[in-house]
Amino acid sequence: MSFTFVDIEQRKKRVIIFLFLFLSGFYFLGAWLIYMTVRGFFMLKMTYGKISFLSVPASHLWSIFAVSVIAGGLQWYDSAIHGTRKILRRFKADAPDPDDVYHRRLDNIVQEVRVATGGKSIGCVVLPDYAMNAFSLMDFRSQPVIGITEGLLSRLSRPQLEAVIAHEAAHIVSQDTLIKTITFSLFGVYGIALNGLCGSLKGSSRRYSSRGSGGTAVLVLLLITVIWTIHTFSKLLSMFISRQCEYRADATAVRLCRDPLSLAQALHKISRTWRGGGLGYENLAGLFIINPVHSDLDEKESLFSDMFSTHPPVKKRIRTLLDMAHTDYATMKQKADGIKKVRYKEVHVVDVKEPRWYLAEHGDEWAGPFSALEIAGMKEVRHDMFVRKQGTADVNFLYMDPLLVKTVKSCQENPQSTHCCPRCGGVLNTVLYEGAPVERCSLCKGILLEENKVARILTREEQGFSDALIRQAKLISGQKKTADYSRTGLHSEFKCPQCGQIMVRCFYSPAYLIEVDRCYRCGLIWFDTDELEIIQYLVENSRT
Amino acid sequence: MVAIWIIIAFFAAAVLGVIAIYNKLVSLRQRVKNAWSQIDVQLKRRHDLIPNLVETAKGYMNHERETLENVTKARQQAIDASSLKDKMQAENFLTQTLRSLFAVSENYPDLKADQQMLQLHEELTTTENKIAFARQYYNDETANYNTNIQQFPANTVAGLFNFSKEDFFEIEDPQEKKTPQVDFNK
Repeated sequence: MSFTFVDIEQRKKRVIIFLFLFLSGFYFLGAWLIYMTVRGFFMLKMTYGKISFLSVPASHLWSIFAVSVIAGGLQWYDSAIHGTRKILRRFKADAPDPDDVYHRRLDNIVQEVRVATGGKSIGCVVLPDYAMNAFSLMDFRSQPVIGITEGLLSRLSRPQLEAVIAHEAAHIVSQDTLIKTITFSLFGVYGIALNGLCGSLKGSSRRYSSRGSGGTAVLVLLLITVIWTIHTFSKLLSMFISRQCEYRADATAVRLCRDPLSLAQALHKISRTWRGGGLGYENLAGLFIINPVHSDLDEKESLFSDMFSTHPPVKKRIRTLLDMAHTDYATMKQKADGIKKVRYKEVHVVDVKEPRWYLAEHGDEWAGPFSALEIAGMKEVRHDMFVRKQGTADVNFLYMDPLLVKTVKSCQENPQSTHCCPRCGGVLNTVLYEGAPVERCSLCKGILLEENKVARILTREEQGFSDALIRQAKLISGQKKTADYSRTGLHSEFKCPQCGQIMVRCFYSPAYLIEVDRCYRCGLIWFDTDELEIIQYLVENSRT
Repeated sequence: MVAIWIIIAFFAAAVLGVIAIYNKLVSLRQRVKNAWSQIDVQLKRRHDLIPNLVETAKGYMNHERETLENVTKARQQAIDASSLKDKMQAENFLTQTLRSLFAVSENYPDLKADQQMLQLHEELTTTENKIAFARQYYNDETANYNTNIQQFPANTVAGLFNFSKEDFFEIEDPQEKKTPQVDFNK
């Protein structure tokens, strides 16, 4: 890196002072406008038109100034301290799940890159979105984090993911991330507020139009105008975020992981898919590895786009990387696409390292093997049955096995603690499906899934499908026009396995008309046998 | 009189210069040591993982006793090695035996699908990569340090206070020289 530590620190200081002044200026302007309006209003009332807007008492001016500096300071402090947390909460980002195969791999890769940077403190989070993108965040208090979407996590190979994470780590090491995080959490909020207000205006206009009360709508409209002005001005700040950051981070990433080809492939893959436009990513565009929304400005190389664009042309980035790797575009593309075709075809749902037992009544045949929860869920289970642990030969009574006794006891005392299948009453086992832990009924093979885990399953493509399932899926997708909406939104016959309330029957989404049962209180979805697989098949085929 | 002052000033400047160079060299050497300790941590982690791996593989591989014994032997050698040179050799040998173990495991589909084996695979992959990155970082720091103690005027200070060159952590395996990435999943 051409940057020394001292350079970085100096630049950081400059940027921070500038941001603070910019913000205070904003508040000063706003306060001034409000002051003038109020003053004009009162004067109009009292003196009938003898107003002079220019002569303002110095004491008033000073107090406006003080107010704007204090307000600016408070907002700046809030962003600099809580910026990371606020943005992560907005994106519903979560720490990687240690039981999930893909998440564990991500965590390992981040640790690897940490080693390559000489042991910098870097954390990671996962965004439950289908889009492919990555970003990094850093503020003055919390640990710097790298955020990866589920889509990116499932569709990049290990070296490619490593290269992307090295790119983000490079931003953190050079502290570009700190500046960007503070800038965007200061000014990105206006864009977010604008989106929210526009949404509520639409809602309210629909609600109030019949009654003719538009007072709220006018107020909202006024607010939108004010915020829109600020938002537009704050876009000027993108001048400030240099395109050079991305080139530099690419170069540092190559120095960290010595693999320019994989980074080029990753950029190529990300640039050709949905990168999260519409999810609110665009308000924080500068934080991402590739701009979430496509803009022609990004792809140009002129002084104008150098000034106003936050991302350099992807083509040029890839070309630079390919020069480093001594290959050309065609071979890179061939290799990048080649990876996608390697798919596991066999179905493998494996229990997560649970011991299992064979079970027998006196004089009966051995049955099983069952897991502890399955045995506890059986109606006819008694303490004097024989058990034999899988993999061993010694036979015991059930009451001699402490783990079984404990499970059976807790199950009898508190039937809600073990989740039972809402359809058939079988025991739900935690199994790995597409590398993610899901609760699956041991008898009817239905799946209970938290809503925020659905994205994990639907983006991963390890699972193969049987011909019968494909036929069924095609049948359902063909029925879209004649779909029966009469049963949706009603109470289903199932109770939520977690809270015991009646679930709601509805279509999975307007695009995929599969009836599922939801519990809106716990955020759980119950998929009957094969339903999740059908949705998965439809999603995968809509993509290709 | 002026001459004396000039001489004193000259000496003062020289002493200050020596102090500055000395401090810089000390911090560079410390960074090399730190980088080495990072490698050491990762090597240890690999040594801890291997018994588990061998135990899991044993259940499935009946005809590959020799390969498994080789891995265990190489691990013991690596643990026993004391000097840096021995250590490097033993670790390189261990990497080779591990690679042949994974090559052989391709013939056992049950073993490849075993959940615990998959987990060990991932753990070993990440440890191998960490070793590679830690070695890369160590070599970068060592190169930086070695260049610094050979440059004028630091070389005089280095000679005076016994700063000696550090060894690189080198790889003998030509296959691994190509890329630092080890991906067992391929």
